[in-house]
Amino acid sequence: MYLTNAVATSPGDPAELRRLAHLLALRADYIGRIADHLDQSVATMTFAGPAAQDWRCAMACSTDSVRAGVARMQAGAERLLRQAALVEQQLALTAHLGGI
Amino acid sequence: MTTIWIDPAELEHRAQEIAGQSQAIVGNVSGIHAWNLPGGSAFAAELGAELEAAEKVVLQAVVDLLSCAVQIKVRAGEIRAAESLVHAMIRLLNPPAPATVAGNGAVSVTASTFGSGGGATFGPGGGATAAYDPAAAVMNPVLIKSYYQSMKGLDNSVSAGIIGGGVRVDDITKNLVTSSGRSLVGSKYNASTGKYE
Repeated sequence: MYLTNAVATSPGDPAELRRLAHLLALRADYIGRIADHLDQSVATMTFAGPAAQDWRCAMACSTDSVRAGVARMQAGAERLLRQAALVEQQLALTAHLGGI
Repeated sequence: MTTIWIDPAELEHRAQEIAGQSQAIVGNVSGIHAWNLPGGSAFAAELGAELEAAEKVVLQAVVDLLSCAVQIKVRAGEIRAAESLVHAMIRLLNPPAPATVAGNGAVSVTASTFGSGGGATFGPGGGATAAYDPAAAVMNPVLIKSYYQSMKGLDNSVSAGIIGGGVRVDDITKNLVTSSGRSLVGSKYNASTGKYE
């Protein structure tokens, strides 16, 4: 039953899963660094007046949201890696059972 | 006393920087949910939905960032417009050579140079283009300062704003003086005498 399910869900190529995980993590890291840079920009801005305070708050909230999205992307990358490991285990088990 | 520097050129630069970085974020997050995710249909569907949610969060944040960038750029334009208006007001307050002022030379602004690089020069020969007009009484330097501060969003706790080239509003207003050397700051135009008093 377990093997049947594994075949039915076409687990894919672990190498491809790892490639996508790496790509996703790279993008998440890059976006995270842009968010850091935005935070630095906001910190060094020399604005004055009530509007400036609004901008600071809005931009700080926005970069926080970007980071929240980045965290979800990183979690996705980790899931891809876990899936790759799982598929490898399944393939190894299949090979082992096939050899019996 | 706090002096806060506000430079419209910096505002525009920051707005462009934010917009550029936002575009870079969009370029890197867009479409990740539509990747061809292997690993089984259930896994792919679940992870695809999660990535779509992540993408939405980031894109919404980018929209907010771009909105800020637009507001900042608009603000820079407002400040430039306010500066132009202030300079126009100052030119109106600055009469031509006394000999050409019919009937009164009461407001003869002394020659002064303000700021460094790009500051305005006042006084006879200093770029006066408008004939003296008593109606300009409403353009009291105090009002100019007040108007300029309001345009820049500065409240009374802020001592001075800065005009792009490094000219303080206070410098402009306190250096506007009558021919007798009295500061125009705090003076009011007396229509009956034709003088700032």
